[in-house]
Amino acid sequence: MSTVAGTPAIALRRGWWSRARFLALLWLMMLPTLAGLAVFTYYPNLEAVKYALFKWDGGAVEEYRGLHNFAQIFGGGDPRFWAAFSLIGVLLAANVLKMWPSIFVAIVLHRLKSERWQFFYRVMFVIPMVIPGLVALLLWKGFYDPNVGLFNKLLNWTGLMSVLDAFDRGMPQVAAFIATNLLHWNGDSPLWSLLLLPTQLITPLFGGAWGLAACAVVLLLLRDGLASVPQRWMLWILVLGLAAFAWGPEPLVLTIRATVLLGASAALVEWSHRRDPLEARDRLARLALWALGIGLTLVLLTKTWPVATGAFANGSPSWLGHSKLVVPAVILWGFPWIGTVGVLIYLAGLSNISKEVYEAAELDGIGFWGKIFRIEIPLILTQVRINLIFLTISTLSEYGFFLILLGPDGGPDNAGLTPGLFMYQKAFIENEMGYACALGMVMFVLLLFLTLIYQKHLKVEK
Amino acid sequence: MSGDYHPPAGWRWLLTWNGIGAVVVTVAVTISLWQVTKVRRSDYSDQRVVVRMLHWQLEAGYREALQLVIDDYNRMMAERHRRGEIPKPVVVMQVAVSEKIYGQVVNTNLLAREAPDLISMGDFALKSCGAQKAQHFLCLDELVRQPNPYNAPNHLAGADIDPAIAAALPTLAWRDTFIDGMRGAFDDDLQGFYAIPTNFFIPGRLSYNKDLLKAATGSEEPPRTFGQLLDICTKVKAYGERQGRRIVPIAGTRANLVYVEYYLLPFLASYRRSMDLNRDGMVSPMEGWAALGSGAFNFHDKPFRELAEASQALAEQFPPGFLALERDTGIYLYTQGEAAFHLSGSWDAGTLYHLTEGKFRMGIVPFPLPGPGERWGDPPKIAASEAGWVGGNLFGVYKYGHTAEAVDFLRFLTSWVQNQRCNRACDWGPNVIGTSLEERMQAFAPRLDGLQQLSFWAPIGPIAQQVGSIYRGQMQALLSGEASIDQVIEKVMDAYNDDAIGEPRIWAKAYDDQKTYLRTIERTLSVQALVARLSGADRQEADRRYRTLLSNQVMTTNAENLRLTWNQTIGATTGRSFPEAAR
Repeated sequence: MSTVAGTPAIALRRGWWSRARFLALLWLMMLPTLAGLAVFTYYPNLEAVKYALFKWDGGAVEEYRGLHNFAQIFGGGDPRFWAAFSLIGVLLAANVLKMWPSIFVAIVLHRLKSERWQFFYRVMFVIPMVIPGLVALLLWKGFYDPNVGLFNKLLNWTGLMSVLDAFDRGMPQVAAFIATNLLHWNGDSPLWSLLLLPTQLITPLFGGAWGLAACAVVLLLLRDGLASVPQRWMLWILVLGLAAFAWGPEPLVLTIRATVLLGASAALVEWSHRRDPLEARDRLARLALWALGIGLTLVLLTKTWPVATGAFANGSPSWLGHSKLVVPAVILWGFPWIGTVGVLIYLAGLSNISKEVYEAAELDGIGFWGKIFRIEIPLILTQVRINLIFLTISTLSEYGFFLILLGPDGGPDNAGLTPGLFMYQKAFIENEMGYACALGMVMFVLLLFLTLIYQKHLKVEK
Repeated sequence: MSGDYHPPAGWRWLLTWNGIGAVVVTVAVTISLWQVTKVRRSDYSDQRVVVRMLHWQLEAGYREALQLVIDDYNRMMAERHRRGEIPKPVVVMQVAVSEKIYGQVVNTNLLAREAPDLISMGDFALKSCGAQKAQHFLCLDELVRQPNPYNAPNHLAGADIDPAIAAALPTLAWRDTFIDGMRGAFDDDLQGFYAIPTNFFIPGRLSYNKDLLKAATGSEEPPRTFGQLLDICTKVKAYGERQGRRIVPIAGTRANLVYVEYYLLPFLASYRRSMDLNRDGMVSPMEGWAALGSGAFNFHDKPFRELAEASQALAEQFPPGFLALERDTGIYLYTQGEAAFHLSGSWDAGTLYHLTEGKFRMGIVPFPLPGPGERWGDPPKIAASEAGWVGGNLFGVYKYGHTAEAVDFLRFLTSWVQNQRCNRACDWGPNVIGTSLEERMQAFAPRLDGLQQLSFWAPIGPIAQQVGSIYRGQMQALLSGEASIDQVIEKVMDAYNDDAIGEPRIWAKAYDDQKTYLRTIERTLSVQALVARLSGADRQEADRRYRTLLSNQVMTTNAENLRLTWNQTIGATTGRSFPEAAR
């Protein structure tokens, strides 16, 4: 490599001058890349940090405002910005589900015995990468055309449209029944009400189905005992921050509820650990998962489809033109969600698993699914984490996708307004570029926080 | 990786997969480099002056029409160079960029100081602030006072032009040769001309399929009133069902929502006098907000409810799910005979005529309003006059390019002969006095009678901020049939009454923006004062500009006119004080 004094090892063993020359050569080779990175990546980002403190319209108006922009963001000056995160929450949850097809495809590819066929399929997966993202976006926009789009035609041809129509008529009734009879006191029929008493305690105790789910997550975090709390402090901040929305919002109610629920959870955990230290963890996890399952099921049944849209009756729903269908359309976009980059990243991780592990698994009698959930997925958690970080970053910062599909306001009833699109509105429609930079900084800090959580808690157990 | 791999030596390596890949990459990179250097050599040649003209008009016909003029000009310049009149030949090239990225392209080029010589003044941030515009674009004040040499008698020879106009054109100042006196190109902030208009747009016309109307209704007469339009639409729908074909009455898409605002003035005209506080004939955004805040305007009142109902009735004639459809889909539906009507402006007329040629006969009428005796016909609805429409498709001259050559081409393009020729070739409206529209474009001639108003307030625009965004979102929900009028009004008013995003924020921002604008003017004044001291021969011009800018600043009364408006309206009726704290 180095011509200074033979091999690099020799160079480093010689005097300081040779070392300096060798290192200088290395730095010189890196300099173009570092310069490009500094000028085209770091400098603009530092400028954004600077302009976050300014009133700046992208032109001549540039006035220092200190922390005024941030005061506006955190002082309730833009509630729609924070409200837009609810959509992000839904999309992030959907991302967790949408990761799995890529993982399974990577596993299938990895298990192919023929290397030639593996190579062939890898190439087949890479080829679609040449299609620009905008083209794919516009193709899907065509799929979603209510009159001639492929999506509606497929639904009609397979009969799924009538299924969706039936759901559209039935789910709101289920939601209304649960909301009025299961989750709230209904004094019309005493016997009926007594039978439903446990579910009717959900709302006063937990604040609703979301509150029950939040409490279950708290219990899950506590399953290792109170001593584990300091190690997971970042997760606690995240979970308690989100739980506050479910347990609140009135400050007094939130305080009382949080105190009672956290206290009860802590007491339950301590009692379980003292009573049966060996089984406590598993029992608590099972209890938490049951509670989480019930809570999420109730959320699914009451919140996802509370009102009939009437969009499926004529067989041509407007997926991007109806406020209630925009979010499902965004989630469905890209089906079957097998991304090239994801598959290749998982494949790289799977290729690091040695054959001895599989052989040992087969000797232990572990079957097909066991290998997936007990060997392959645990051992590729690093790759899962990387992909999750990428997905989170793109979901949180994405706006071009929504801008092209729905317009700058996020479509009908602003259903598709994301924080990124809000930032775009502020920058390019209202000409408040400085404020948009401040919004960007807030999103950056949130992203950093989430990334740190993934780094800390999503890793391979050595 | 497998071990002990020894690639073949010499030329045989090229036959391996790696070698083939390397060859392909090398060839591709070489071709790309050659293309880039070819363009660079062409554009930046020392042997000629290349004037680049950037615009975003990708509609059918415009680029070809513009190229006709460009080719003529290039030939003329080549001939002049051959005769020794100019040292280097001048070549004009047009560069068309998609509207979606036009702003970014211009901003980037301006910041990089590599902008084209002529730039269409579209929607890019760096032109929004006056000082920035003055920094990048040439001030044309002095030039527009001189006659256009391409209107000289030798250039008008053989043209079918009114003799009186032909006699006047050679000596008329360039700005006076335009039908609006270049009012549309005047920059109020800078008190000067920084662009030249090259044609005339008229929005708001209804194209109709005569053959389909005849088949569906028995008559090819277009609708003259709103009620007739709805009636025809019903018959067209029924016709489509009888035929088993998918036919929509109006090929409306998300892009056509803007035409709903065309009905704003006719339906809300009764508010004009009460909302126009300064009696300038226009209801400005802040006057509109003052009316809303003081109760002089109420969404629940009959005018707005009627407007919303009529808009809903119109949107019901659009294809199902029209919010998800793009403008191109609307054009497709109409030109394929799957829709009876299409809403658009003069810029699409050429495209529509071209695409419907040989398929069906097309007619154009103004947007119909409710007639007497019809629903929403009381009080009578009167359309806005188009007498005040100004020239469009403005081109600015980049200050650091080939300014003399760019100005010369603009003069050529806006000469009587070329202006008419170019615009007729693409079915657009010429904007030089004495020019005329093509026969089939006569429907786009401005209608002079009607209510005198160029703009009317609506909760939209940058000042409206989040309330505007909610309003637009709710109007989409209303027009798609998802929301009722009461729901829309409730959500918009909730936003307006919200302290965080509503009334206090709107007024505080407007006040803040005015104060900032004034500080920008002061900076510009400082620059002008310095220029006046240093400019010597141009001192008179610098002095004149200083005086006009100062006058402009004084007239804004240090932004206190906003406070005065508040105190006279909202403050007087509600007792609320001007929301300075929201800043």
